[in-house]
Amino acid sequence: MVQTTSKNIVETWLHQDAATLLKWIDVEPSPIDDLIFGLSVLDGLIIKVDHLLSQEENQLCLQWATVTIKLYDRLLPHISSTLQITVATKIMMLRIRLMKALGVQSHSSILDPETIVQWFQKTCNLSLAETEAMAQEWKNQPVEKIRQLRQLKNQLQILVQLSQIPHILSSYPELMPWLNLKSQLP
Amino acid sequence: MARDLGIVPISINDRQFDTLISEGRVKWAVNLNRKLLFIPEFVNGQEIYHTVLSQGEPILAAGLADIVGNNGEYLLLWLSNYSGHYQPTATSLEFAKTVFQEMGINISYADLEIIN
Repeated sequence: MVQTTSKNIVETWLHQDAATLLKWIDVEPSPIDDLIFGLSVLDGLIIKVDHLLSQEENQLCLQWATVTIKLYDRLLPHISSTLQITVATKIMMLRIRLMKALGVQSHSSILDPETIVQWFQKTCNLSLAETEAMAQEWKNQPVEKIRQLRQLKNQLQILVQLSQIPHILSSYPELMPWLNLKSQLP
Repeated sequence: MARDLGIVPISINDRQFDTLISEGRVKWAVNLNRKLLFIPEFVNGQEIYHTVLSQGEPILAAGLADIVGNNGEYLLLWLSNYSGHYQPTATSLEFAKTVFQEMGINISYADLEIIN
């Protein structure tokens, strides 16, 4: 197995300007309804945003981050819940890298930490007390419970990164007990 | 970047394997010598790419996995052929499943996620 030619097609798409790609994402039916292609473009966009950030092209970087998040929103309904975690993690980590580099900004579609906190609260389907009880002897839990605990740990990986931004935990003290639980989870 | 972060591919027999899987999901690849190798999916919030596993060389299969356990007892929860770089086939995922089993990982409860 080697790098495929479709990679070259993706690279061609990524050489267009951000406004053109934004329109392309909205087209019906969109080429990104081909899941592999859509995910490849998403990966390519993330690399592009990181590259622009490293070059300190901050405005351009935010424009391309907007395209990336728009594509993520468009892809989400087409993918399974397990894959949603993977793709959401990529996007949330990207947001955090941008916040670390450019600072947080309330009501920004990209730089507002509230988006990540709300995502965690929406997707976490366990209570703190329930998690604490289950985590104590996780090896004796049914596989589906272990799966739930592991999913939570994967989500907490994102909150760990978010918590490294100065003053975040004073704005969101409710995250602290969850972060303290992480090391007890499978 | 991976070199800067000190990321090197490891196998299930390496001492660091338990620490690696305890941190979260992993990226994996089966190389042409049928060796199963792993790297973290993220380090310090930065995604590590599959090319680190293979140094850009051809591979037999690749994807993402979620594994729990320690001290030689491992349970595979989820296995996927998702790799933006290689775009592996569905067949390669079935092959990988057998390689995971050969390495002593319990695959009985694994959810397989085929991207096609």
